Amino acid sequence: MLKSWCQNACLLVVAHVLVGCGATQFVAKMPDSLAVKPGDTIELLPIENATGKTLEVPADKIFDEYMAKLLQERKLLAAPAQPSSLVFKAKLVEYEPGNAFGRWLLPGVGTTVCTVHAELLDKKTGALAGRMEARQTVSFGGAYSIGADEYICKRAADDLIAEIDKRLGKKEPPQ
Amino acid sequence: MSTRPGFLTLVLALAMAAGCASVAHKASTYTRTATTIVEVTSNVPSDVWMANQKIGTTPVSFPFSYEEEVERQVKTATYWETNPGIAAAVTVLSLGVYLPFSAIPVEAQSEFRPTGTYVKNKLVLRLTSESYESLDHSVDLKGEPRVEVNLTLKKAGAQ
Repeated sequence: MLKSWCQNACLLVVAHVLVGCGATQFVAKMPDSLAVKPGDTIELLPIENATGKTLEVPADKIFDEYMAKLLQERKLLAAPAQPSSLVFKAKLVEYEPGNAFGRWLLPGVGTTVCTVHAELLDKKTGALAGRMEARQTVSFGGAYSIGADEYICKRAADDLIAEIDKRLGKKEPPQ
Repeated sequence: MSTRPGFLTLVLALAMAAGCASVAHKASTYTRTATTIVEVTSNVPSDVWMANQKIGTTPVSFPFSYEEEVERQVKTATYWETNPGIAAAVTVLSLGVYLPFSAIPVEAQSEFRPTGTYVKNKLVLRLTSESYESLDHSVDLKGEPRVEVNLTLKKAGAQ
């Protein structure tokens, strides 16, 4: 009994030193009627830093490049000067680089956080088509959570593109 | 056995400290897009203009977009509040050693609240119709999904 407990404790210690984990929060307010039809493209606007702080890590640029790659993979990214049906407008509203040593010392200390507020706007009218918010954190872990400050906003981008994926090829409801 | 009350006092003191420390404070503000569908009707068919651009002829409906201010508030929270599952696992596997430390509010938690302030939300319309006096009308929009504007134009020269 004691032996198996010791094994579990050792496993936790090893896992704590190696892995990084945290929480995911995602909120989307999208009308059911919003559909991304085949051939539709999305204009990607550069993310705006609305954290009120100067970013030590270029989290905004990392997000922009990764989001562009995700849209490109789905053939949704509108080329410059190409007409598009939707506009993707995002704001980086919270970013904390955190630190892996703090996380190793005590869970929650040195938490890495990235929250992105994103909107899909109708290109023609400028009307809001839908909005979503993704928050990713890495609050627990050790050595392997090093670099979370660079990949954390990519995880937020993954959450946002997953919501857009749900709208891909969706048929519009009859009028 | 004699250390038990001391240990409990420590846990309680830390828990109280956690309560004191978790007061939310304003961290930043940002704006998000708000859109209201405006329906304009009038007693006579009229041209509707906004910022010197013709929108259409009444009855007409169109989306009007502006900005809504959102405030980000931050408070520090214990790991029990943010990740209760991991906090419980660490407590059990550390034979309770982690418990007193877990009461320290170390993790920042954010809340996003609309402030009720709107930016560029003044809609200014001009209605024109032949042999009727043109009419200017403005509306302050505050996040309503739909707004109806019913206007009456006076005949030109009428008292």
